[in-house]
Amino acid sequence: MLEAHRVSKAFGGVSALDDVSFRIDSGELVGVIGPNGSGKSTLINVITGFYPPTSGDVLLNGATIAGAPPAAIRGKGVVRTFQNLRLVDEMTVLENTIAGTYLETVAGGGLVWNTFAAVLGFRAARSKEKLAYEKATAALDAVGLHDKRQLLVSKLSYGDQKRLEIARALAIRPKLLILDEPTAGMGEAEAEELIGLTAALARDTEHSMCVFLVEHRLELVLQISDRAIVMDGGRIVADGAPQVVGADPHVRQIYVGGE
Amino acid sequence: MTMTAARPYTQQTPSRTGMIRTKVSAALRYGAPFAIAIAFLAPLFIESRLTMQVLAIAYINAAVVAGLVLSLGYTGLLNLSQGTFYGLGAYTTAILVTDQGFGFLPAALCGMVVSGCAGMLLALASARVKGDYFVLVSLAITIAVAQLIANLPDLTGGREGFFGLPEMSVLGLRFDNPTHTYYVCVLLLAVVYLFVHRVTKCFLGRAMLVVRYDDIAARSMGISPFKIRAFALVLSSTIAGLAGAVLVGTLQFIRPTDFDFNPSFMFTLYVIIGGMASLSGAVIVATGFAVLNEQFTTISDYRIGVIGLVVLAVVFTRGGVVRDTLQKLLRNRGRREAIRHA
Repeated sequence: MLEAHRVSKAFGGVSALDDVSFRIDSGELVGVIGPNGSGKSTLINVITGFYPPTSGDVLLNGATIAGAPPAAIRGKGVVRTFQNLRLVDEMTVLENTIAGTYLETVAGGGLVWNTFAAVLGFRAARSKEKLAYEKATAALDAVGLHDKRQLLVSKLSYGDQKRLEIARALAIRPKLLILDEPTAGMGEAEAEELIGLTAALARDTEHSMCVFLVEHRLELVLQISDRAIVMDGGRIVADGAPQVVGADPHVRQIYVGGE
Repeated sequence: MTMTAARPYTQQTPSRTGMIRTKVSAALRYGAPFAIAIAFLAPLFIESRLTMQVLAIAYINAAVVAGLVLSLGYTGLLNLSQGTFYGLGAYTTAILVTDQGFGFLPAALCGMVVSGCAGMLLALASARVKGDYFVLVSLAITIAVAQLIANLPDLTGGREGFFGLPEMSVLGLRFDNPTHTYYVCVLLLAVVYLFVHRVTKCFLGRAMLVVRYDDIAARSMGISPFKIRAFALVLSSTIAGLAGAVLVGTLQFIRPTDFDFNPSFMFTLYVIIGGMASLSGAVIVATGFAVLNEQFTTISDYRIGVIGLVVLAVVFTRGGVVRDTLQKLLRNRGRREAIRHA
């Protein structure tokens, strides 16, 4: 599915990612753990096109996506959430989720044509809007926000806003969902619930999707991942079954040291 | 909460899910046609030609402000050039109908194109400079165009203004008395309102709000912030150009001070007072201030001061004065309905 091949990223002279290689197979839930500054967020930014890699290559189903703009990568079904909330407070939960389908709406004809089709109420535009609505509703169902879809975002709890970020990413039915520290700032119980939701989404057989879960809660990630990757200082220091990675003394030392 | 969830899908057509503001939007859905009906019937009760003209110009101003809602209210560009786009549309139309012998309609279309191109220029600037610097560029364009208009007397009539402009005539129809031009202005506002309303309710309105809130989120969702800003500015400025053309046919006289920094600044304030992403709020505020301004000329000297006080009020009222007041008025009624449904 996704393959990173010897990816490095340096900012000026500072190396943030150093020769990182790994792969994600379809349907897998891969947990990425590591202390702050270990390169997890940089890795996400490189995969999703926010930063081009300094060297190395990222392949999606065998085709290179390294250096492509974020919109192109999203168009191929790779979506991400952010560590800090990036929602529109003035829109409802449903509207925020529908906004996630933007690329599909402007596909075929572009921005200007689709706007005039929508303003004039052409049938094609209406059916696109209806499809977007259905996808958004399904995504809200999946994260358990269905009953709150008409609320303004500002009325949601922090945990629900995090769920909404995930729903917005799910709205385009992605092939690979990248979650950047979804439980940051959450209490233990709330975090467990959200990680449980992540696992449920990854296990949903009806809609096969890979999940790339970047987290700092070691135990939670090990519990639900198919595979765990541990990063430190911009390198991958362990990659394997969660039990094996969890038992690795080197990993435990880094992790405890980073806490 | 469960009340809305239980509503069947057919009652929530997708186009309406756009920007549902529940009670407030329901009030406005019926409010806008009601307002148009009143505007249409008003001439039956108004005898003074002056009052008719004051209202007509208020509607034109409101249309300019409705256009600005797209770039400022939704996309978040502090655009201080809307009055300039308005003026470019007006002067282009005026020059073409007098010096070049154009018909009103083709001249108005050219006016819209010129304003739209000016909007595109400002959009190109928005790609290079952000935030405060964008405001400076916008301000520079406004001042430069106003100076140009004032200092090219052979082309524009200079500081004295452009006199003796012909009446509007479109496809053989002549609009040569205040009642006729009044109706043209009502039609202008209705069409612009409907257009802006539809834009804000469709995917573009949502994309604009995302861009206003967060560039990075927009990019991650495949929304190009530059394209959205550029499109919003072109739409805003083209609408202003159209309003400028109608002003030419309504007043038959334009002058540079109608399009310099002051009106641009006022248009911006109307959108802010109306509640940023609130089309109805902006239009109500713009119409109201335009009427007040003309009816009570003594106030107009203190205009900026009065507006300053209103802006202060806005700062302390989240979500805009108009929308908030409406919400407060409707809240009690909504509660009763909820009880009835329970």
